[in-house]
Amino acid sequence: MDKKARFNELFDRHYGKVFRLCKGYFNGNEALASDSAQEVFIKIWESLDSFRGESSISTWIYRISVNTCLLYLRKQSTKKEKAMNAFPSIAAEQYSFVEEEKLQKMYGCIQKLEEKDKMITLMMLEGIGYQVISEVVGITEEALRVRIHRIKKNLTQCVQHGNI
Amino acid sequence: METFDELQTIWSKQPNAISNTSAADLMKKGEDHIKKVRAGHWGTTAIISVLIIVLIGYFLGMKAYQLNGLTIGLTLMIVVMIARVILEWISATRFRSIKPDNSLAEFSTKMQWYYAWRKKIHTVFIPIIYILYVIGFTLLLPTFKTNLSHGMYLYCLISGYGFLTAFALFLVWILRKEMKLLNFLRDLN
Repeated sequence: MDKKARFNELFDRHYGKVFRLCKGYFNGNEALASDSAQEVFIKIWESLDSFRGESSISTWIYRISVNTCLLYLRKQSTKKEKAMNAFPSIAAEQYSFVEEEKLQKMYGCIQKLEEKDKMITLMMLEGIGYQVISEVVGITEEALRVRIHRIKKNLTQCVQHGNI
Repeated sequence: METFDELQTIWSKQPNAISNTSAADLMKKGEDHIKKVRAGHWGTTAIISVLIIVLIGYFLGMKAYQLNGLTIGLTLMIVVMIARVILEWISATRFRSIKPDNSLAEFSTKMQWYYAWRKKIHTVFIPIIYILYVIGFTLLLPTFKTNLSHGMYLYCLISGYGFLTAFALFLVWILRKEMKLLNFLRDLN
């Protein structure tokens, strides 16, 4: 498969996941999520030739996504940083009022976590396996399990009571 | 009692992203970026080469071997400019060597190393370069005063120091921004 065809396939399969990860990181801001997801895929295109298959392609893409989102805002203007503070309303038909409120609370609670925990939480919520998350973050699976146990407790507590 | 699984269910019900771009657009942007990086690399090399040629040309062509304010001033300004361009070139090369597909722990450690190097540039090398550049410019002023009209001399004086002041403020702004990033990376680890 040539590079273009391979990139097209990766874009179709992974764009949505990368976008959601970035959206969660940027407090639900879709404009920032879209811009950063595009930057992720530009980096994927630039680095695709150097992918040697030492990890799975998903791990490789999530690594690029996490690193890009993490530094994206910090290299941009403060105007964009301010934009992140405003949480957009989620007018989605699939949500009841209670669920929408909980989702908004989840976004808010994720923002209260430490940076590394924020990324781990977002990957967990996307249903990514422990092995991939540990490879993306760069910690052992054992350390990750301990961390996830604490994050789950804190996040559920925060959604219910509003504090971590 | 809410469980994490319930939260995950709510999370996964979010609508899928509607992409406002296409794979073809991003491939083009990627290619443009690669070209821009290459052009920047060649541009830097060209700037250094031109400055060195100007410096050598000045000494050979004008037979300006004697040490006077103009010669020392111009030499200082050109040499520190070359040093500045080389430092930026080294920085860009170091930055490009940090691959975005490292694990988060490795990536943040490498970025921390990079910004610690930038801090050294901003707090040690740039002030020295800046001071030498100001000295170089100041040494040119007597020649300007003798050879230029009073109005033109005033223009050179005000615009020269005005530019240097604005540039110093810009450097402070860059330093603050990069130090904020360095602190963020340190907190991460």
